[in-house]
Amino acid sequence: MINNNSPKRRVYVFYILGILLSATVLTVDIFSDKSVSTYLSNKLSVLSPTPLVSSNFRFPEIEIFKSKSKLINENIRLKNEVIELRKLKVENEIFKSKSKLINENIRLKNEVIELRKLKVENEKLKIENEANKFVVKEVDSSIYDIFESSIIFKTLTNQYIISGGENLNLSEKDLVINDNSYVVGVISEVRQDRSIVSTILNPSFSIEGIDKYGNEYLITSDSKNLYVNSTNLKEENTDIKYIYTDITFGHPGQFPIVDLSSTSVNIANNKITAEQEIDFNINYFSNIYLLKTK
Amino acid sequence: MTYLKNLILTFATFFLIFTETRVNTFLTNNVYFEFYPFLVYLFHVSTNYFSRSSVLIIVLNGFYYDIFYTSNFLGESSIKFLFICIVTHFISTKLSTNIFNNFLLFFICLLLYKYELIVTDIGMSLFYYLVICLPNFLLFRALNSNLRRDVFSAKI
Repeated sequence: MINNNSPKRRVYVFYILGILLSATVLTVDIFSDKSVSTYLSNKLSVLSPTPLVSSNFRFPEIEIFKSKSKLINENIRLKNEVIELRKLKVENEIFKSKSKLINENIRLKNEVIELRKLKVENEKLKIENEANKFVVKEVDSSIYDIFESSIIFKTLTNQYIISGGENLNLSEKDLVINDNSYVVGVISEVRQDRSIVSTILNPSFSIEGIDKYGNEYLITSDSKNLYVNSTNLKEENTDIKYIYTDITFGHPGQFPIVDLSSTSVNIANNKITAEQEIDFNINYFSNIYLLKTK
Repeated sequence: MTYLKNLILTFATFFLIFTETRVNTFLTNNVYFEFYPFLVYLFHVSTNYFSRSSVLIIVLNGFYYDIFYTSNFLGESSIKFLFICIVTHFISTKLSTNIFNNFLLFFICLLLYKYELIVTDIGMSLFYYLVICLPNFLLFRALNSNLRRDVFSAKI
């Protein structure tokens, strides 16, 4: 016979009461739009310390790009000077003395040597710049604030908690990019000093994108592959190459999500579909960057 | 004294959650190894120490987990943890105590603990969770045998 007053049965009652208490708090949090959890997170942040974020981070590649453009300008200036000097040389041949011409010639030769050195340096920078072309091409530091962030925690649901939150004026749908400026995640929740990121490795990840023809897509993930499905087709073309994020979807700007240049793109029933393997791995030491429109 | 003990236990389990998330972040690249000390604690509570004093500790741990480590609403994890304890304890009382049943129960406990991922990707291999389960179960066995050893009552 079952004893209704057995101590074990009473413990079950306490556990059920615990569930009811949690359910009450959950209801309050749902109706207050997470203000309770946000308040507690801000007040009790000492219980889960986070590292500081280096703000106003700038890609070193941009500096390279700047120095390269400086060099190109210098090169052009010097070339113009050489042309002018050549003109002068012609004039000199007619009007000036021989010794003056010799001096001018020496000066010009030196300048040509300098220009050749600059040319070699330029070539080197060009190669470096080529390697970082995506960042240079896509991340314009005059438009975006770029923050270098780091992964603090990985949650049970394969989401990542990264440093930087309300303290950096981040908001939901802000983008997380990698070294090549490809989108690797979207901020799903912002706390005071941290944000929760849904990365492309998360099976529930989805993001809207657009291609160069204006076709709209929904990109989803199963943690191994990215699945591209068109949602609004304006032009049927398999030569898509990049699918970008866009301001129309609430993202800060246009950043590449996938490069379909080496992937087979299918058109069937007025829909474009493609599947691409995820070639991205995230860990504690990964370099990730947060983007925010200025 | 009881309050102090519960307070210390609460902060100790907070530290378990912190360690769990931190270590699993470091182990991101190792697909087949994950470390769940808090799950071991939950399993220990459910099978050996199922008492009303654990309820508040588990509720607070759930709150701690929701506040800092998930995008859940406050209270979701508490419900999950308490539910795991109830289910695990209920099954453990119905099953005979042997290592196979214990492992099976720990496996069920792990599946409930990771139910969010299982729901979103139902096709995920059970083998994957079995592999994850094994080292954590061994950890539980090791801790359990050590915790049971009553040093003070031993004859000198």
